[in-house]
Amino acid sequence: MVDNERLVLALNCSLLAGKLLIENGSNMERVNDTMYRIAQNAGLHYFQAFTTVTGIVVSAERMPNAEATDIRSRADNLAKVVAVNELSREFATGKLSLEDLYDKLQDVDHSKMQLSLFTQCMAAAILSLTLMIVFTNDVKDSWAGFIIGGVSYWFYLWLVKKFRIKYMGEFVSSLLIALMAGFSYKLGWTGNVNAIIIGAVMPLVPGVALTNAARDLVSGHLISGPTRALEAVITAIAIGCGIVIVLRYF
Amino acid sequence: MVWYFLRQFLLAGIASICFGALRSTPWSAAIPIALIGGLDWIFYVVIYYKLHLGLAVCNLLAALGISVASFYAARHYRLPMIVFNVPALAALVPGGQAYKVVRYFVMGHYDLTLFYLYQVVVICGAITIGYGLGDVVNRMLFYRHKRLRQNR
Repeated sequence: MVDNERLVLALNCSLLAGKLLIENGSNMERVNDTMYRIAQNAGLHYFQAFTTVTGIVVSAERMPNAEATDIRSRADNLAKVVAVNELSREFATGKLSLEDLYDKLQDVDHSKMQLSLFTQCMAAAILSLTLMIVFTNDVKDSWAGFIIGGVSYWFYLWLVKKFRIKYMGEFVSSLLIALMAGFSYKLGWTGNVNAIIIGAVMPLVPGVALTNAARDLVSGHLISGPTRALEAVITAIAIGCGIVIVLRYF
Repeated sequence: MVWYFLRQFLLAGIASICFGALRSTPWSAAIPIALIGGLDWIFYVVIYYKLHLGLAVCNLLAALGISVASFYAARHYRLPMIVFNVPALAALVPGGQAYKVVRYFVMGHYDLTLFYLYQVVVICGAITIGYGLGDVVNRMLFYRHKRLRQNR
């Protein structure tokens, strides 16, 4: 048996680690694995964790001491996933004490750990360019894909920061993509509207959500699998609606 | 011919690195991400466009390849598997087909809409099953390695 203070600290560590992992796009198998490992290395017995995409409940030692946490929104920040994984590994090998683990997890929670805005927009622009060429073999108009992809992703990041609703950001930035592509076609600068839109939309497409939904379903997490798949479908619908509304008039 | 494959490999590799950069993957993993993404795309191009094995089987095998390669990359670089798994999908997700669904739906060509919707659903399902099988294959390979070491 573990004394009460250590029990509470270990539960909170485990809970915070799980919350960080789910918030930043990890799949459920890794979340559960990390939480159980932290609990085991802290000396807790009969540790149980109920993890879903929107909340976690943990308890240990078969005593009425459950703790819960709420997860409001999910992002894709794999740097934090890597950081939490590393901390859990260090705790397992004994390099960190429980108190240090909790402090460092809180540091990870409060830090940003994302690449700079410019790097992200450049990455989005290059992604649009390369995927446009891979999917449509259209090298002549790829400069338009580069510019439209970068600008619309920058707009998307600004919208998400300002209004905090992801679907709204995706909808409006795909409106912008279709508008810019349509105008560059009307002005005669590019030849093919469809190819540019295919390329420019690629940074917004929910790749992680689909993959994780698949892995969660297959590994038996029947709540998170369909939930993540639903999130991916809503994102796809938002993007589709944005493009459709503009394309109706071009 | 070689230039064609080299171009596809480079494009898919750069796309995978950028996909990873959008998700803030560590730069130390950039080269394996590019390799896995590029090689898997080449694999897919060969078995789909040259060998004509069919849409579902090709995507399944490609996802299986990503899963196995990223498992070994994860063990070698001591990073979680998701860092290699997700960016490698950059060229494989059905972006073009999904857009065509939307486009033909707007234009009113419902037959073409259904044609491309079928492709989107099949590709997503095949990638799902490919990842599931990949997990199984990884467990088989890992435990085999463990059992061999115990027998020595």
